[in-house]
Amino acid sequence: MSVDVAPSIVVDGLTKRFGDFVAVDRASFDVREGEIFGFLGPNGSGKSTLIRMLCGLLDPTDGRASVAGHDVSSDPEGVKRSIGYMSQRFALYENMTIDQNLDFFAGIYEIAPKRIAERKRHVVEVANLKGLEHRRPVELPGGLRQRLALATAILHEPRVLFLDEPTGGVDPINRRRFWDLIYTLAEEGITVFVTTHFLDEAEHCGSIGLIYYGRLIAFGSPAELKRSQAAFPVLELELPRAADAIAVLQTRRDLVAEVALFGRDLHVSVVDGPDIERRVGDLLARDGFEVRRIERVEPSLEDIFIHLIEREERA
Amino acid sequence: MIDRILAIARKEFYQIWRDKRSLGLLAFVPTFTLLLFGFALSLDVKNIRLAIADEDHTRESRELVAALRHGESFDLRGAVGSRADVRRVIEGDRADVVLVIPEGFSRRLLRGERADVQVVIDGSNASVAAAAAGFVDAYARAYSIELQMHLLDRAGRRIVQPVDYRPRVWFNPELKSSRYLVPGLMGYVMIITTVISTALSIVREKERGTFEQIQVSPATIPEFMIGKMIPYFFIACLLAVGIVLAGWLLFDVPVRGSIPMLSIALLLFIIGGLGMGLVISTAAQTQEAAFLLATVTTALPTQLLSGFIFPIENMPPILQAITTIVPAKYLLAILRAVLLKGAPLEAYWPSLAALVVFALGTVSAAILRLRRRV
Amino acid sequence: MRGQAIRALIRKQIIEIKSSTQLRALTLIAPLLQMTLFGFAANLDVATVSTAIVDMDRSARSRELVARFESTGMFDVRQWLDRYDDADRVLLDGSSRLVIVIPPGFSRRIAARQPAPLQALIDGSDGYVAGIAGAYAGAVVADYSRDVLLETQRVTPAGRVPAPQVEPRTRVWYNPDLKTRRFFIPGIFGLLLMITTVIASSTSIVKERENGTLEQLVVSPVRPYQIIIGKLAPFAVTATVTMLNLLLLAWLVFGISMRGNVLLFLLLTIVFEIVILGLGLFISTISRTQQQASFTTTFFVLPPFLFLSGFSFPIENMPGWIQVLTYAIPLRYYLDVIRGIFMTGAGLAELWPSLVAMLAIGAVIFGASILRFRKSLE
Repeated sequence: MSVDVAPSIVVDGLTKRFGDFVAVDRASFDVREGEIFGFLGPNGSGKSTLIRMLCGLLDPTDGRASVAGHDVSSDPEGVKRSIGYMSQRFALYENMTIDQNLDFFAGIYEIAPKRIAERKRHVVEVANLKGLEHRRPVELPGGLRQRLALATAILHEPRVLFLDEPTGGVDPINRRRFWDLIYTLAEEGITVFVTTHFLDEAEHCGSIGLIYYGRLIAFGSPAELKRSQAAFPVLELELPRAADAIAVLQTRRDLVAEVALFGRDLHVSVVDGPDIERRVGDLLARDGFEVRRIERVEPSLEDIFIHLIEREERA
Repeated sequence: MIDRILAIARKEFYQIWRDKRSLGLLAFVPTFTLLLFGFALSLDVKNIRLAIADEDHTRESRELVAALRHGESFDLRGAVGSRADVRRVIEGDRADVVLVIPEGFSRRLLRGERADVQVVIDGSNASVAAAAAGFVDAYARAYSIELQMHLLDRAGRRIVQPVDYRPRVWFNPELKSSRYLVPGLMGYVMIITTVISTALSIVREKERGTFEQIQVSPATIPEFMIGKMIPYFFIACLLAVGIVLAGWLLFDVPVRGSIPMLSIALLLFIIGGLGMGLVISTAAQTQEAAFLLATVTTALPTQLLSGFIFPIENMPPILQAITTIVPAKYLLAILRAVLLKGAPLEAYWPSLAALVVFALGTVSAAILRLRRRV
Repeated sequence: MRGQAIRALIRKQIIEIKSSTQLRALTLIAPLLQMTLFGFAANLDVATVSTAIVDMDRSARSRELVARFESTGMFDVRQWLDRYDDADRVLLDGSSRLVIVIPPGFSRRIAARQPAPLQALIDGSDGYVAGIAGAYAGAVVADYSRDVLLETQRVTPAGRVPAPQVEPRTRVWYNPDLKTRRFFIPGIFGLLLMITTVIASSTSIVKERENGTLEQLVVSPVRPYQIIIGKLAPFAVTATVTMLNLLLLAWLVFGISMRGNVLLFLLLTIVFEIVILGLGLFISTISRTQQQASFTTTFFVLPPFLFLSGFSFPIENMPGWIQVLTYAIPLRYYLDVIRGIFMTGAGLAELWPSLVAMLAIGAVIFGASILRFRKSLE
């Protein structure tokens, strides 16, 4: 992605306080036009609050943000006209057909009547819902419902799309299809802001942000994040009674930064040094653990996030 | 079995507890309603606004007016100048009744004859009008007798009224309308509370699509129903106790009869009401429909057809037949019998039997209906 | 494009309304059914009082007295009891509301020109009946007593007995038959209209909040006032249809027609409907679920409308501080309007205070609702 492309979402010191409680604390980041931005964090960390501010629904307490060129504080209406939003819950009208739903949203967004038929055709095709226009959402399976919601969100040609956990409860094949759709939209120049709990989806994003109890503790492309955390190499260990080995490893803070179960294996973030694999192996062998395999691996996003979160929790 | 029922009851109670606003509404507002309206409502017709056009200006005409003012029935609002003003006073809603005492009134009376007076009544409020007509009549009669005795006395004759009439009012000698209205209010509060508490419970799950949880749960349908009813049952029982206490302490509604019987009647009524709400919940397709059904089957029928305000005996036979399906009617009959009259079981057992049918009938109907769906 | 959003919202609401046949049927039929039933039931005219007689004298005079009672048509003599103790029973089980007890020696004492006791036992547990029963019984006895007096004591050495009698000649305006029905049916009308309207408008918005579609509207450029109009306008139409149906029913079944101006009635009814819609809107802004909305309406809204609006209980009888509360109830004014137009043919000259009151209440309700609605969207 060229660095000269204009930022589509600019967030600068954005803060939201509810009384004494700080929901979002001085968040600052950019998202470029046509980029797919993945937004992660534990529940209750302020994800929804931040999104609501960016959608023009909530007034920030401090700081500024602009979406598609509109300032969220001074021009929320401009923001709303330029964005599409897909909520976590299915939020279309079950009592109306797909066609009626699309007509409704076309009217809500005040799309010029001449263009409505064409836009409807377009989104139906993009979302692969052709032939189903007279069905009601309640008759459709989960994957199609999500695509319908997305189709509705892009009806009015928004420049920025906010998708809140769009693939929850959807099977892997449909998830894949959905993400193909997102890529297509991004290629058209639409900026996509996605929240997700699926780390494999985060890998697909152009840049990622991790929010932890109001603070943005990581921001960057997946590659950047992995490189930055390479200060702590990760060893993957295959051994029986892996869970029991965790306690043993945690006693050696000079060697071991973090330990986490990874499937049946262990991922250990170690302090870099010569021969670190052997030293860890010996430590475990001395306690009677039969280590079958030790090798360096590239930290996954999951490793990185767990590391970051645990670091925050210790602070 | 008990375990499963308790588990469902606990879950239902937990859901109520989380929805604090609904809980508060359910627990406190009905009692508050009773209190407010217990103080507010009265069917006694008093202080009827009276205007006088006295064209006679004699001692007797003034005595007649004084007689009318004497009790609480009439509230003298002023004098009307002439007959022409009568229309204006009535239409302008400044008085409900105008009494016109024509010239010559006194003369005729003192001769021992009949003397007419004109009474114009605003009939737009029929109950006030009927009462006004009756009161004027009664006072006129009383005054006539008094005058007669006075005339005889003056003539030195001793006359004795032949009939020594002694009316006695039983159960409510002061005819305090709150004593017979409050039981009616109690019935109203109990039925709307019990029905609305369960009316949305099942249909809500249908709407949200969580109905399968009912189907896959290991509980049988009857266990499920009972479990759902239990928390509301307790709330309603507390309410019932509160209401009877409030009636006794604040509104002078005694508890003259058998408390165990009263409790049985109230328990049956509560079960029936909850069951009725469940039936509605299984029949309605949307929560809104359940809400509408619950309201129209309880609020107005109870107010109008249970004997609360309008005596059932005065209704046309078809309607009297219809009142047999108004549950509050039976509770009200029992409440009046037990609270006010202190009547024994023989006096009200048909109503009690009806409540048994009500309770069993609605719960069975709800169970049957739910079975068919699941 | 002007109004495009509102039109889309209205169209959506209409589709929603049409989608549930059960609800549509209920909204149509329930008020009509209820109006029919209650129109016939709402009857305070005390037709007859069930009466029992304990005649322990069994003389010509006692029979004459009983005949007097029966001939008024007010007393339905159903039971003839032998013993005084039976009087207890019939009053307790409610089979008679009035018991006339004629003790032995009644006739003898009258002939001897001694006061003859006569007892009446009145069931006070249903006070309205008791008051009327008591008054009429007293009137019958008074007449009887007077006639006996004239008969037994007419010719005396001193001449005739003077019999002054004040005779009221009563004329009832606006409701000559004193049909309480004419008074209550407009009230039932107003109440049914109010119930269906408030339920529809309150649940509709809460439902959108519950199933998440409201959130979708909120992120769009649609303004709150547009959402409100889009929601309430269709309900105003359905409410008017209900109103017309009820009007037709009142005319066809009860023969009640308007004495006043039909157009004025329509205008004032629409004002009332809008106020009630605002009330439903307000309820929806303070409820997060339909269950809460139903509880709020059932416990907070309906009882004041049923009991404090002057529908069945006269406001004049209420304690002062409660009368003040009744000024806040829109139905109170609408009842004045309906009764005025139906019964006394009142016009704008008499009804303008009610109109102003409804408008004022409507403004307050809508103002509060819109503020809360905007806040609740955040």
